[in-house]
Amino acid sequence: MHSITRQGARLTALVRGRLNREEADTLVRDVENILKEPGAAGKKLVVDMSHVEYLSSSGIGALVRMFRAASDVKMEMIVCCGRAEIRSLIEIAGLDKLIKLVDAPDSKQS
Amino acid sequence: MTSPPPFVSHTYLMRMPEHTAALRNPWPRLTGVIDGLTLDMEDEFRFGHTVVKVGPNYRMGGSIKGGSSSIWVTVQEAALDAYNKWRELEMPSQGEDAAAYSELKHTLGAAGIQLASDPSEYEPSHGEVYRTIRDIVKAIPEDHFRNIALDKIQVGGWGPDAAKASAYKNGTVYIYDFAVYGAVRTLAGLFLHELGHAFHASLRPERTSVLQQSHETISRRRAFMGIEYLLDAESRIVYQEFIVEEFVAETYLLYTACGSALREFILSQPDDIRDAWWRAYSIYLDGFDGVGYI
Repeated sequence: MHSITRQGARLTALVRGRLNREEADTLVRDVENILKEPGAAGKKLVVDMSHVEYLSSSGIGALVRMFRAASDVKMEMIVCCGRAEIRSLIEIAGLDKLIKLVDAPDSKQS
Repeated sequence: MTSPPPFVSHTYLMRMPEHTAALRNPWPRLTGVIDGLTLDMEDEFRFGHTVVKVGPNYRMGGSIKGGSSSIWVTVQEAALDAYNKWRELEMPSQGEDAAAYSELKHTLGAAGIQLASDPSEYEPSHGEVYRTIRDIVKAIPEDHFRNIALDKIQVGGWGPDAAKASAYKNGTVYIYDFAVYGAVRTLAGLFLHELGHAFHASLRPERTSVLQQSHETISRRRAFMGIEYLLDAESRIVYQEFIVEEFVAETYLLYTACGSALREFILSQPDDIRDAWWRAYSIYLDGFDGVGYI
């Protein structure tokens, strides 16, 4: 389950519950559609995972796809990990080399 | 153009072991082959997740730093059966192979490379892991090992700072428990990828510059070759596109494990991309003293 909100130059995708294969595909599709809208370029995309209970490998793949889509429109992407376990899974996949990770959505870095 | 340019001239072609050469092909699905296995489950098993029985319940989660910091979810008993069948087909067996360990240690030692394991020097249950790495190492010319920036290979344990599947740092290739207790395909892919970082570290600046220029040209059309291990092929392409060091390391893996498939991929590209790829390829060819891979 997810929701996407805009606040100024910031687009936030708030993800809740289990990010499995089906949810991951829907999330990427919704984010890609919003990024195609006029005026999306140059904004910041924040993916808030602090309410995610389970991050599957499909979910990690979704982060990569969203990163690619955000880069296409010159957007910076930040992932708020919330739990240390979420951060560990992202780091295992080496995604920390690509995407800025922060602990909380209200972090100064995000 | 139907063949490589004159400056891409192999002295001879070697062959990687079958489990490693298989990286060029899509990872065959076992969903539908193993009773009770679903696509979601298979993806998680490929990403190092296990299923364990905890009291009367069954849980699936990842083996990250011993498992204590992993996310575990409740699953049905059938998931454990599916996992056990999957691991029989995809993961290294947990049997002993002291001979493989000795041979690997000896082969690496001859090239001045130390083999270390954590926590113990020799871990009996890693028999097939040693065998897998030994078979890959034996398919690489000894002189090549002398020339790359590699002093030590550590098999097992975890990194000090963060959870990682594998790493290269200061002359050491680390193959962490995540890779040791994962699929053989992932172990092979990660090992060659990390050797690629050791190769990169050994290159003279003018050669690194050639690779950077090639990367710049290839990036314009996202003409990277992606293969499936750890994550999907598309994710491997994105890593290469945005991080030149990952492109260099991944190309080392493609050069060795997928030689003929890489050459076919290059030949299928438009002129400017093909030229950039061949310039990059020639750096690896030189690094292997003219040896290419089937």
